[in-house]
Amino acid sequence: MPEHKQLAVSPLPLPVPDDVLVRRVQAGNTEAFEELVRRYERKVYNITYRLMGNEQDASEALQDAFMRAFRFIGKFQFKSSFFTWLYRIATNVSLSKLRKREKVQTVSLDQPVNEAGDLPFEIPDIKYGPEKLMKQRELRAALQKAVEELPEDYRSVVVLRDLEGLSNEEVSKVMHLSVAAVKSRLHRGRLVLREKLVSYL
Amino acid sequence: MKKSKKQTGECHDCGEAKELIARYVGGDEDEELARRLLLHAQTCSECATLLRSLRRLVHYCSLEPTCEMPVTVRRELWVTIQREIHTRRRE
Ligand SMILES: [Zn+2]
Repeated sequence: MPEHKQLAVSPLPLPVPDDVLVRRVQAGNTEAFEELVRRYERKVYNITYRLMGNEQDASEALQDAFMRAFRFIGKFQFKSSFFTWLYRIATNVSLSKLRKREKVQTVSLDQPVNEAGDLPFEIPDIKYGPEKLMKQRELRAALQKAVEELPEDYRSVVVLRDLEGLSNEEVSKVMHLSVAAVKSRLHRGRLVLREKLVSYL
Repeated sequence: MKKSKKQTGECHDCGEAKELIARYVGGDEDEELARRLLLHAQTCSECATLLRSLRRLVHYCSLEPTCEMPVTVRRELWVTIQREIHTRRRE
């Protein structure tokens, strides 16, 4: 048990851990599920958005993911954390929707990449000037597009690790892969991204 | 399957360096590894470029802000959740 510092003022109540909420849901408490949704809706939306690439599809995947989580939470056995389980559902739902969508959109290779090569690499600071902001925006759009075009195996790993900031270990739990496999997919995915974004790097 | 070889053409002892780059950028913290990598990068511009651009890529990715969830998306989500919960209660 970590020792908590004695506070003079009464501290805010600690948030109820996910596991406790899950047990409550399993016992039939639907409000606990609503709390879990509030806790993770943004995160899950980010994952589905990064994987699907547009709001409409991301929104559908988001709803599906939480619906499935609700239906199957009774079977959750606490072998992993709730969030890795939830992220896994979100990733699987998105990927299966993507397969159905059968991306027909062709990739335009000559999309505008203005001022190729002269994007400076200081730590980009969004607060500075409109020009920098423009480049930042361009880069973000190019990045999102490049991620969308990644092969599926690489994409989920890159999204979870590089964009959502999970650790290699967490990604391995979400994807049911070994850490070595995560690292290898990650590296190959990054190499593909790098080629596509070379003018920004 | 013809693939351009130009990416691997210029570099001689880079096999190991490429491996090291993968590990280094992948988050392996190892001073010896970093030292050997830097040494190689000083003499090999291709690996130096690769290393630099991968690090920038990872850095840019880490700066990506969370996308805002649009109000409409959130509303739809909650309609679905409420419907689902309602159905469960009636079962
Ligand atoms: Zn080299």
